[in-house]
This record gives sequence, C-alpha cells and structure tokens, in this order.
Amino acid sequence: MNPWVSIVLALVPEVRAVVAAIAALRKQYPAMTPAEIQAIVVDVTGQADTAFDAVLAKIEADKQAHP
Amino acid sequence: MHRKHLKTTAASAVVLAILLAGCAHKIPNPAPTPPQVKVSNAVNALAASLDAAITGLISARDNGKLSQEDLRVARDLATAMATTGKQIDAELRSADPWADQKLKIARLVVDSGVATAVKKLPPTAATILAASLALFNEISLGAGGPAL
Repeated sequence: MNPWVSIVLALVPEVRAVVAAIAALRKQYPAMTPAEIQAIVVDVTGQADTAFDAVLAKIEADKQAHP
Repeated sequence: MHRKHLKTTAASAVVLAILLAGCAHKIPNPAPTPPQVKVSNAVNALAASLDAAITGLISARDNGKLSQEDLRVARDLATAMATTGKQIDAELRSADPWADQKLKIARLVVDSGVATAVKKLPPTAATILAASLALFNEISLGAGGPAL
C-alpha cells in the first residue's frame, strides 16, 4: 500500500478525536439571570449618576462665576 | 516511537488546517449583552463624556474661541442631557420589565428637547459635544427611540 495512504488512514481516528474535542468546547455561555442583570444595571447607573451630578455641579459653578 | 511521534505531529498539522479552514465560524457566540446593560453602559459613558465636554466648552470660552452666549446654549444642552441621563438611570433601576422601560426611556429622550436644541448649537460647541450627542443618540436607539 502507498505509505501516504497508510498515514492518512492512521490519522483518521486521531483527527476524529480532536474534532470531537473541539465540538465539546462549543459550550453555550449561560444567559444572565434577571437578578444578575439588575445588579449590573444598579452598579453602572449608580456610577453614571455620580458623574452626572459632578457635571451639573460644574455647570452650576460656571454659571455662578459667569452670570 | 518515531512513527508515533510522526503520526502525532501530522495529526496536529491536520487539526490546525481544519481550524484555519473556518472551524471558528461554527463556534457559537457567547450570549449577547442584555439591552438594559448596553443602555446603562451608554448612559455611564455619556456622563463621562459630558464631564469632558463641559471642561472643553469652558476652556474654549476662556480662550476666546466660544462666546459666552454660545457657551450658554451648549451648557443648556449639556444640562438637558445630564438631567435626562439621571431620569433614564432611575427608570433602568426600576422594577419595570424591559419592554416598559424601553418605552419610558424613549419618551424621556423625546421630551428632553435635545433633538431640537442641537440644531441651534454653534459649530465649535457642536464639535466639543459631538461625542456626547453620539452617545445620547445611541441610548435613544438602544431603547427603540428616534435617532437625533
């Protein structure tokens, strides 16, 4: 038999095993629960509010300085 | 032993070829970011952007590149965006389902008057506020509202 054919035939189970392993890695990342989503939203919007307050304070300070 | 090593090396090469041939496109993407989180992140980015914009506007006025009147127009617009941003934050933290939050947020955006006020913005101020306006637009679109 042609040696290359032998090599290819020998490789088939190896490749099959690797492809199966790759398929097993295609796991779905679980979607976030509503509680997890809300926790993130509360944290991020809290930071935003602090920043907005700073913006409004800066605007007000400039208004006072330049009526 | 040498034959087994050769076999393993060849197998690795074949696997690499398979991966390069586009196996990656079959791997599903992770779960998409929830829309409430996207909008929250955009609002947070808006706050940071407005802070930088206000500093820029004041500096432009102090350097004579922006008149006091033009600064006032820009300041009012920034105030409207910041105030609306806080209202959107409050809605995002509410117990309303996302479908209801979307409607309320879209309404807040329309009622803010930003879409009208932006048309009166002088060019220098418009440039300084461009990033903030883009984020405000992103928030509106994220909630199913109109584009500015």
